[in-house]
Amino acid sequence: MIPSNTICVSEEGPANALALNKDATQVVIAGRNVFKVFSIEENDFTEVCNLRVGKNLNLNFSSIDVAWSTIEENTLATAATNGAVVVWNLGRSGRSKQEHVFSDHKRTVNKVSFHLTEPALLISGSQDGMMKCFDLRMKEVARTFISNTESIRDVQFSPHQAHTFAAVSENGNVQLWDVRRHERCLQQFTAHSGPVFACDWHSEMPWLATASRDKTIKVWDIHAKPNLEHTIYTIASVGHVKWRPQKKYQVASCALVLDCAVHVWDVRRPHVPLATFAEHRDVTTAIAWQNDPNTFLSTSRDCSLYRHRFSEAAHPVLWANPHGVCVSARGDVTHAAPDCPLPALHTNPASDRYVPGLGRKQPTAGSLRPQAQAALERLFPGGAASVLTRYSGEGRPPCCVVACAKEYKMRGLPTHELAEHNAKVARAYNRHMVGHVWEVVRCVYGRPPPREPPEREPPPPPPAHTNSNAVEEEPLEEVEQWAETQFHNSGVLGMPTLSIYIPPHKYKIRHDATGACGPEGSGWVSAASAHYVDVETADWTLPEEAFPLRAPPPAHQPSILDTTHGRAAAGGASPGGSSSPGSGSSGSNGSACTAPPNLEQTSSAYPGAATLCRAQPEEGESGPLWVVHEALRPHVEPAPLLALALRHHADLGDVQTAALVMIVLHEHRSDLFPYIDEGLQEHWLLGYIEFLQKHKLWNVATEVVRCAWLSSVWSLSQQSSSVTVCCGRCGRRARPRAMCDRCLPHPDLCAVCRQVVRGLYAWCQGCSHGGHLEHMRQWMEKHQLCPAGCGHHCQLG
Amino acid sequence: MITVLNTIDTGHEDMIHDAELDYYGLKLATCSSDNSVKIYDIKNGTQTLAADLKGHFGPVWQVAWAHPKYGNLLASCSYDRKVIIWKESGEWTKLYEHTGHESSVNSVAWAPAEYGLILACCSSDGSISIIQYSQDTGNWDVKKITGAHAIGVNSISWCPALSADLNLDPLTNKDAPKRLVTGGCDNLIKIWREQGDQWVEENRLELHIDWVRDVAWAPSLGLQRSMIASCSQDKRVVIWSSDDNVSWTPTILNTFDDVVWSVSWSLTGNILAVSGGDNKVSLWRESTDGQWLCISEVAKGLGQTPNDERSTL
Repeated sequence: MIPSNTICVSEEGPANALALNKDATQVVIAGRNVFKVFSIEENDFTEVCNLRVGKNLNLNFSSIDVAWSTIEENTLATAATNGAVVVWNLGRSGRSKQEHVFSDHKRTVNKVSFHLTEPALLISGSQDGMMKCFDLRMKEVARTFISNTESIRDVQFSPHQAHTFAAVSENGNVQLWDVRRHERCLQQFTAHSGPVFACDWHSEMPWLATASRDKTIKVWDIHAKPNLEHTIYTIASVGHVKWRPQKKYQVASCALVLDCAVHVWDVRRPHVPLATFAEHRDVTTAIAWQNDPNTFLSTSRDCSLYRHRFSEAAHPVLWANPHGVCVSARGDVTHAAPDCPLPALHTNPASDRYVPGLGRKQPTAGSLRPQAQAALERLFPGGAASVLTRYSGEGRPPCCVVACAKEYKMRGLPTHELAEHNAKVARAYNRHMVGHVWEVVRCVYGRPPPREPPEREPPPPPPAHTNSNAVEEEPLEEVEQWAETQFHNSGVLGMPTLSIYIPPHKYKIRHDATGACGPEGSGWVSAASAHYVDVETADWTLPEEAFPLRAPPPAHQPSILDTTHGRAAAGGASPGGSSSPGSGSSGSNGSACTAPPNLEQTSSAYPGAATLCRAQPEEGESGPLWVVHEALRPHVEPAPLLALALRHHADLGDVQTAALVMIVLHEHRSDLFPYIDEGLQEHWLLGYIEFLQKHKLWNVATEVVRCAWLSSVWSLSQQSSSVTVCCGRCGRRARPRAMCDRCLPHPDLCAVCRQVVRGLYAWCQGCSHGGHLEHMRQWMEKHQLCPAGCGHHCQLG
Repeated sequence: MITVLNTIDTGHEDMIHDAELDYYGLKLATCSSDNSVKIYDIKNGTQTLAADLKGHFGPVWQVAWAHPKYGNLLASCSYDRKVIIWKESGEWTKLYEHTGHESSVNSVAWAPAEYGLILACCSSDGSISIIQYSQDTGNWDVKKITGAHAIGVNSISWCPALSADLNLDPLTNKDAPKRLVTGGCDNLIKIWREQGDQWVEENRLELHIDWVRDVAWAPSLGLQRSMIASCSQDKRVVIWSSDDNVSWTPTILNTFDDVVWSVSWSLTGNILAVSGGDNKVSLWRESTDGQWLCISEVAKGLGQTPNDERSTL
């Protein structure tokens, strides 16, 4: 797809060079197999003349370069691969326009240039390292300039000093010569680290642009001593360079390899081209401005000749991302933005948003309106600066969450205590919502311990209610206030046992007839686990019908409770289980025992809906009491609500709360399983672990892994641990079971006697210093610090 | 609420195209049109230049940090058609150079660490390369998706290993599919899934009406669904969400005043930073009713908060 204002003509073969006549109405292209003159019309090229005619198409027709006299309308010169410099006269009658052949160079001629004011002077630069000035009137070589370099790639007359020309060579040098003096050059300097392929004089400034294989274009001020003014960095070897007329800072270039496009650069912005013309399918071989800053011609190895209009340019800078934004693990936002952003540039509605066909790799060309393009050109050099700013994003959270992560406890205590601790931590960091969740967990999954833990028998009733008369005056509705729970940390793994205090007088009230309750002690109902109490403790009412009287149970174990009790007892024996309710409760207060159904049963079969209690009075007391409690309000079901809360927090990005509540719930965790599937649990845990690792909280992360209940998570502890072996002397990483490369020549010396140790070598594992076994032993008898003087308190053996 | 910590004088000679913080948020890498990549250490809110990496011969578009379990690795991609993987071992050196693209390489992204050391990059030549380091051979194996997006691929992002595929456990189930999302010059967003040793196009998301400039798959920490943010020349930012990574629902986050160039998720995946052609960066959060709200917005260099203070989380 060719932009509408660009014209193109295809040739028989690739052209190596092109030249315009002095009024830029005609163009000549020259290559190995092509040599034609076209006239440049408004919308197309018209072939004026094919110069590659005649019987003997010898190597003289195989051109590397072509030049059109800047004064004579009809005079052309070509540089041929065989070393010939051929002068052509378009005014000749007949088919052959060849005027004269100079066969003075021994090797390929790379470049021919006409003198800008003397029509008869032509200069050539050749692979043989010589430049020759030809006099076209005399048809002879006027002078030969010997560069003392391997080969000359370009020669250009200065527009400022009529007799000065610049020559660039493959060894990276630039030479300035006076065309009248062939003995030695005026100046010489090294411009590039690689071959220089082209140069171009600025029309107004005393500047010379040089293009090199080192992928740079350099601009030299050669007013006095050559001074590097600008360096442009391109992506490929630069083959040609041409200043844009009337634009002080702009220069066009094309690459020798890799990059097919023609770029126009602003020397003040050396990394990004101002404009790009990407019509060619193969590398561009020559460019020439059409005496005006808005059109230029180019030929390419793809056998085409193009005239480009600047208005058709693509502007890569408009397509480069000027913004970068990144949110860090710590919540900071880093933002890179241009210091002076370009204003909104209005695009051409005609070409707007038309995405050309496949294979087109460059951004839409020619989409800018002329004013917009002018604005871009003006603002372009100043648009280079970017500002990189860091913001503290999101406000406080990250640091608070990290601080909480450090201070939260996740094991070692019963759920409600952990929850209480964590709630305090969260509130301390002003995370009230999170604190609230913890409070809820605390309330739901446990009660605070009683003010006076009844260590001994008989357990004292709560102080406020020691007076039994006062107690009796309490209204029945407040019974729940009397239900006190007590945890006994069973020690092994923090599985609590729970006792529920039922004030004796209540038993009296309800069971006077039975006389079942003793005056003291018998009010304690114990549960093996806090789980058992569940939410019912919060609204524990004992309706009359909840106490169906039963016959006294057989000696100790009622049959229906056999299994559960037995399981609990077995659990108590195993490291992961809880203490048996029977022993736990009777051991502490010996008054009552409630055997819990196992956890799954409770949660699945009748979660929180019904609770079975059994008060078993101590031996010798009055008859045992069976309490079957069926809660009246089964709709209070904390698990789904809590699950919902955790999901909500996770959705808010607070995976910490979600994961940690799950951890802290310990044995209650299974309550939530119906509402939070395993995938999500794992997701939370792994997410939290990643969060911790991002904050380098390795210990906390390890703790989480340790507390995890999912095999996929705790198996992490067996993964991705790597041990690095470092050289004890220099600290560099070493290969396992191999000496450090750097320290290999140094044998191990005894830290005490400084001699090489042969035989047994004893060393401290802490600081890795050591020496002869006997020396070390003697030293350590008298000293505690390392003999090497490292200050370590060594421990040997 | 959002305040300027500091402005960094990078010394870059031309426009900065990307700034990325490493896994811990302690190293900052920037890349610029001046062909260089710079690395800063961030300590106590100040930063010091740690390295100036020169190896590209064209504007460097994007950088990406690998997971630290593989060491300090940084990938950079450039207009010069190359991807360079840099490694710090004492000092920064070139570890690997990928030269398989025929045009500018626009975006690089490391795969989640669980999958191994895998880098994806995409280019203006329309193709995507997936470069995998093989521990056994020490080689980098390249797979290529050609013709991924007509005219060019602008951005690439990996699906986190912990994704909405909750039924698939990435640690135990080796078949957990790897997924990629790309945004291109054909205005499309495409989701690619690895199937056997092939990458197949699983989904194409159409909504944008101009080039898609950036795509970012949200990190999944705690989230129950996958989210992808995309931004485009059409000035819009779209959030695509899915419960199963198969069917995606778009929500237009906002239509901005100018081209939106870059989007970035916070670690927890619930805050999106958007950086647009109006030279602003804004932070967005999804409210409980699924609406996206701007929680703060700063023009270059200024901190300000519109309307409400956010929750106390």
